Amino acid sequence: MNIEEFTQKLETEFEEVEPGTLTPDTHYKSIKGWSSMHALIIIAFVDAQFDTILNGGDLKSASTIRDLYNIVIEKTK
Amino acid sequence: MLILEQYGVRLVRIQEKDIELIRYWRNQSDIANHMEYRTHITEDAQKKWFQTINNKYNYYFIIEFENKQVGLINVKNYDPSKGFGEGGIFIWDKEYIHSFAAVFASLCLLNFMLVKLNICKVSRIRILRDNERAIHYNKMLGYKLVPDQEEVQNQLYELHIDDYLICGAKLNKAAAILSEKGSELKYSGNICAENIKEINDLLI
Repeated sequence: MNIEEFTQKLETEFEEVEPGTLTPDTHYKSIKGWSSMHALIIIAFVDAQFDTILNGGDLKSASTIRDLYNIVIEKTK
Repeated sequence: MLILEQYGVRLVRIQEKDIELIRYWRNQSDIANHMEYRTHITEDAQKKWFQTINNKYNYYFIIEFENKQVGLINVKNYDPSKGFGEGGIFIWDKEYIHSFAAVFASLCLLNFMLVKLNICKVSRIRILRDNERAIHYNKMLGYKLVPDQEEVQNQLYELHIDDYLICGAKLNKAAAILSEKGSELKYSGNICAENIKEINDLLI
């Protein structure tokens, strides 16, 4: 899965985000209505798609969707 | 006394000793502004309110997270023929507004009231239509706006157990991954007249 697919699929996980709104450089915590619920959705998404576990530290250290993607790719190596 | 625990949150059913703490936070403008009832709550009014909810039809819990009391969560107006009326939550400790306290508390209470008790199929909440954050939050749990509520100021949302079992499954899995504390739902407390029979049966 490349970064564009990752972004697109993640976007579909968030109920209220309009399609095409997110880009790899979106600061994901600035998503409208951001809450800890979104963080859980990200963890569930990565677990389901990559069989990889993101932890709280991973989420804290990532600012953009690209950062998240890079962490996931690093963990799956 | 009734205590629910999961994912590192403890939900402790409120007692009369807690109501002044709740009143203090409920009267703060940044919390009251998200509520339908915004009038300043007096000490006397708070005591009267407690008398109306300290029974088997209403369940209000202090949310404890990281050994701090950070908010309040509730389900209210239980009706044996219809199930629970409406639920609500607010986090008063600003340090914890963006923490996992709220979502873990929501999952813990839904897992107990909707899944474990298994006495009703629907959870209901009301959200002010301009509270976008709360709307996003609850839609991700699986709540859906009830038909004909679009123009209502304090809109009614419903979560059907089938939707929760889908949305909740991935959220509960993620919570279990994230939580360093146990992911098993635990409950404890005393058998008492302020619990419905189904809860007392679990406490035997």
